[in-house]
Amino acid sequence: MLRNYCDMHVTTKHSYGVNSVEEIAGHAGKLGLDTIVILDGIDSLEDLESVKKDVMSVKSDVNILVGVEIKAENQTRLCNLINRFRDKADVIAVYGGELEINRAAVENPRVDLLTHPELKRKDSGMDHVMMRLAAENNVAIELNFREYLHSYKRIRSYVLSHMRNNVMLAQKYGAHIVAASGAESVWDMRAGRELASLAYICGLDREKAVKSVSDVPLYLVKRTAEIRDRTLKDGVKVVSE
Amino acid sequence: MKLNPMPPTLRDNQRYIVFEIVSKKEVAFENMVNVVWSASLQLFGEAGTSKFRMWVPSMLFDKARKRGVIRTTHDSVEEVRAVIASVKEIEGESVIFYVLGVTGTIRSAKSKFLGQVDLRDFGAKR
Repeated sequence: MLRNYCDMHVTTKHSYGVNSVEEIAGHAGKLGLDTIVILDGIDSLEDLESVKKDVMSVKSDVNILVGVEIKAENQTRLCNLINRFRDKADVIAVYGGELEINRAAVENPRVDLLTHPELKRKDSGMDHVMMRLAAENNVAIELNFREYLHSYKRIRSYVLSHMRNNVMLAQKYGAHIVAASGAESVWDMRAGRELASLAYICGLDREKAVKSVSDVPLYLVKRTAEIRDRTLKDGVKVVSE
Repeated sequence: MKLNPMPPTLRDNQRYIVFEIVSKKEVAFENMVNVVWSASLQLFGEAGTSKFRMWVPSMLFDKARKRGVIRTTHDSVEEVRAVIASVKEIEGESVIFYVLGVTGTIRSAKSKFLGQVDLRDFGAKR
């Protein structure tokens, strides 16, 4: 069965990354990816517009979506930034790692993705209560390939163990898991099936691992687009007949 | 005295993972093999790697197209994918291993992905 693979977390030189959108799209084409989501850590609408302008100027067979990875110091700032970008970006991701931010992200149904909740932590960054909230609010939890790729020996074993813990909780409570490259350079990018192998060694079965790089990201993107197209005002939406 | 060949029913089911290396420079076969083995030992350890029964045949490495084959058992394909995905550089040069496909025989690996068609094989795809 042919699948459309999606890498839901690629960073360009607009924030932490080193490569342009064009170079990333070229590599994504080589690796057989159908969709990539540019997730730059930006905090103004002008920056988002310049990323979108770059994306529009690139001619590629790869479908490129523009999202925002929100890095906030506290919950209030996080809510402000989510409100600022929600209607403008295709995907809203939250830069995880801080327990307070992880919790605020999974409590907010306007967030699509919580990236690396275990980043620089001695625990997995998610407990059962937070995972239940993530499932209720449809916030996907990311397995960040870059974090695994750039760690060694003891640190890598901690990273894998924390990811495995998150996968176990997500499966129990029905939260979405997304395996993404988190690439800051084109050399961190991997093909969809290779990203799925990370999900597999973290405890997902083969079918679910493949879905975590194909069906789940595409569902999240589609759902966001539907909500945006049908919502007239906060709390008022067009219901299909 | 020689060992008797293993009966077919007792042999492992094998799979051939055909991969392509994305890199700026050429890659030497020996360096590539060393990197794959050390990545496997790092990720799964000696006991884990021993279950994969990995073999990287030198005669199937296409240096010009940077394509090669890794043989493993049929139930270790995902693990070996994870191993080669975790390779990020060879001799200081950044690389990406990209799996083109998985086959059950060397012949289909050759004909489907390496462009080596045996003219005696009339059923092969050209």
